[in-house]
Amino acid sequence: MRSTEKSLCESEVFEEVYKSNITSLHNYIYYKCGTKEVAEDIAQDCFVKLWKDCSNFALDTIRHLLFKMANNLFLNSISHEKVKLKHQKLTGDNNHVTKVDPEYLLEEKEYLEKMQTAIGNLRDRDREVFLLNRIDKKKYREISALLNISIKTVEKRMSSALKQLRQQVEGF
Amino acid sequence: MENKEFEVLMHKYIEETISEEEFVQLKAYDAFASQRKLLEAASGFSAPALDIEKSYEEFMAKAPQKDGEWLRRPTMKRYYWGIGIAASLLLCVLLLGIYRFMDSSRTFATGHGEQLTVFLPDSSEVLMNAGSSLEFSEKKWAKERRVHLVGEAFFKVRKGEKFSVVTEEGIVRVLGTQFTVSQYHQFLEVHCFGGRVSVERKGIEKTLSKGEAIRQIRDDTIETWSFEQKIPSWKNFESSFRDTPLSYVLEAIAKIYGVEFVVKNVDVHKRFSGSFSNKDIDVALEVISNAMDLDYSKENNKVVLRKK
Repeated sequence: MRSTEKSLCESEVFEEVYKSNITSLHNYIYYKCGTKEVAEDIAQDCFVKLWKDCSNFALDTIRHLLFKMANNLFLNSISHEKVKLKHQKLTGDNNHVTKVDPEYLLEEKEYLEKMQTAIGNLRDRDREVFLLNRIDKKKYREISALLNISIKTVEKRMSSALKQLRQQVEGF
Repeated sequence: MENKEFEVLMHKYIEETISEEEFVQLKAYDAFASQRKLLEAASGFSAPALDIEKSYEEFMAKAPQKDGEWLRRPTMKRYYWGIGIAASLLLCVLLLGIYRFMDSSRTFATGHGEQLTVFLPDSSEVLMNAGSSLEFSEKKWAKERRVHLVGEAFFKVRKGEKFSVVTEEGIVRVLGTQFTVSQYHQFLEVHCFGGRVSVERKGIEKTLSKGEAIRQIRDDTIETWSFEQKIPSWKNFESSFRDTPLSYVLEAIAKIYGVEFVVKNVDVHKRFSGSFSNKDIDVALEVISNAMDLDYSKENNKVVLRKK
């Protein structure tokens, strides 16, 4: 039984689907390709496809489908860069950190910079799972549904990411 | 090397399903402190911010219109070539004028029965109906996409910053792609054929989606309705009115055929619904007279309407 009566072809419904999913879709591709423009483009292109074929999709399976389309489009695109994320403490706005030992600050900065590089060095599939969990605050279950992988696989990739990050950041 | 138990506990910790006992166990592992630090630090990273509204507008411009209208150019039938040539000549003359007055704004106008397609500096397209004029400043275009319209026109707007159509009867702002604006004295009507359009008149703002139309006459209540057509009927040289006061219907006919109306004993506020081709004024007058229970007589450019 279809749980939805609303159709994706109605522009209001589509707009809502667009606005509630575009950010996570964009982030997901960004975690793979590291280029904002490419991520935006691919995310939009997914919706263009969805729109062209709107009558063929049920609303409740769309999220997983979008991620799948995004992944395919990503594999077809050529421009990959090293993923370089911004950290709020690396962007200079330290006003909220009051009276901290400057040595500690420097250490922390070094730590975060190392981590930034290490995240870029992760395997794509580990990185996307790790960042979907950390930045987008997605539970394992959600990630497993979006990427159509088992929770076990999500766990494996999380562990693997953590292990590699630790090796690179702390040197063991 | 971390063992299985540590990993299981770690996942529970990440998923926030860990019990207090398990947490005590987990803390006993050497690796925990550094992995916790990694996890916490990772949460502070972020992907580049995305402006959802802007992204959606870009998408709207990218997405194909369902009826394929966006791709189709307005085609002119054989017998409108004359009009086309006249319009092109007018365009040439105007272009020439622009060379002379680079700084001044550009104005386009259509005469009786004429239609004119104007391309704006960003290749947005305006199809003007008869008896209308359009003005915009090429110099200020980069800063602000704004045109002044008197009369009626169909717009296809390229993606980009906000696009406004300013008329004496109100301002129409585009958030999307295709719409018509019909402006007469004390009368503003807007049809949205794609994307979203916002209409502001006398301090009240309304947003239209595809297939929605809005109208306000004088200060009367705002009328809204939805329609099925994919393109404005006048684009095919047909006039169509929905529940429109007779005075505005006559004004539209006057623009198409260049005639003058004299009404005797007729209530011009009475509303007319119907459509007729723009090729034969007698047919138009016949349709209106029948619908509104009137008699008409035509002499040269003067049409007299009176009550039956």
